[in-house]
Amino acid sequence: MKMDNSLGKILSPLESDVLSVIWPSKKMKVREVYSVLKPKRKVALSSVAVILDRLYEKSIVDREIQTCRGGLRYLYFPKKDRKEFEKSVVESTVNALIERFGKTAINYFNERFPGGK
Amino acid sequence: MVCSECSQQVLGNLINLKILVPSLAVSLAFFALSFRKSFSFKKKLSLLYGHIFFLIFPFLFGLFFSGCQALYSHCSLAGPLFALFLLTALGTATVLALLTPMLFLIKYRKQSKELVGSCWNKLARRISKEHGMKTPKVFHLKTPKPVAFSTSFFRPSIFMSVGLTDILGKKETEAVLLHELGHIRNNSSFTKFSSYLISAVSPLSRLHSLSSELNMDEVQADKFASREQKTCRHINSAKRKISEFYRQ
Repeated sequence: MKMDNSLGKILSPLESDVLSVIWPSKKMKVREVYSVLKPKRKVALSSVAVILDRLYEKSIVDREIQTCRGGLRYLYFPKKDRKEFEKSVVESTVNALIERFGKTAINYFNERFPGGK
Repeated sequence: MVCSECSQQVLGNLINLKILVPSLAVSLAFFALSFRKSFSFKKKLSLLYGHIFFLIFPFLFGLFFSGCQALYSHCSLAGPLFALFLLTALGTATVLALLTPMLFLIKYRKQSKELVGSCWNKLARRISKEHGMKTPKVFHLKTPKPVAFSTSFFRPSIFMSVGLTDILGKKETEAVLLHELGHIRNNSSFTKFSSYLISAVSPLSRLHSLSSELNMDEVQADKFASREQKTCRHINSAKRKISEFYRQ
């Protein structure tokens, strides 16, 4: 599997790699994400755990607790699919630009996309 | 109990020098004695508790009897009042000392789940039986951070986080559990609680090397885990993985 770097400017490289692993699947354990990533890049299991926790804090992924033989474990899954996530990033970026620069930003968008095209 | 001799007084001296000076002197003496190398750690802790008691005593005394200026000179109720105060202070201190770990336990038990049939519970039961200890309850703390700690107040309990079992292998998790059992065996939670209490109350506690005693406790717990597993490989790699997590 080729690593997807299109999100590299929004997220850190490891964050975007972890996200590309869990996007197609439904729910994954930390260890499962690690075993998919390990052959592709140099990474420690603890780093994957840190990144998944960070993505959870950013509300990009969600998690649930599963009971197993060794106690409890977390299962991580994406909150939004790839398209929805990209849409929300664009939305928040555009909103931030309009909030920060007001009319200048709106005028630019009108020039850039004349006639709303 | 109404004291007729001073009932009209409003807010007298908050701190009386006749109480403050000897009390601070005794407090300092206890603190100085706690540095003696020949004393055991438990003896040192008792001296430090004495140091704290005499350190805060004059302030509590002044607060309790503020407005009662006659007390120090010609109050007929001075003796019984003093005894009542002392009993109240000791009672409050005991209740607080029991309440703090209890609140701590309630807080963490709410955030965790006990898995009665889990392999970690079985291991804890077996090892504690072998060493003639009270069987601790093993709880799984619902947090992604890798943490583990134990308490031996009331009933011994071991808390291991979900984050810990997520990043450690079976043998490494076992090593952490054994490390915590080692703490219960050495009654480390009392040592830790005491050192936190002393450092929170006494401004002189920074001069004391309580941290070295706590480090010794950690070393003892590590040794216990290594002895049970017949290797220090697992406890060392568990520690390395946990510190790796917090370094990021």
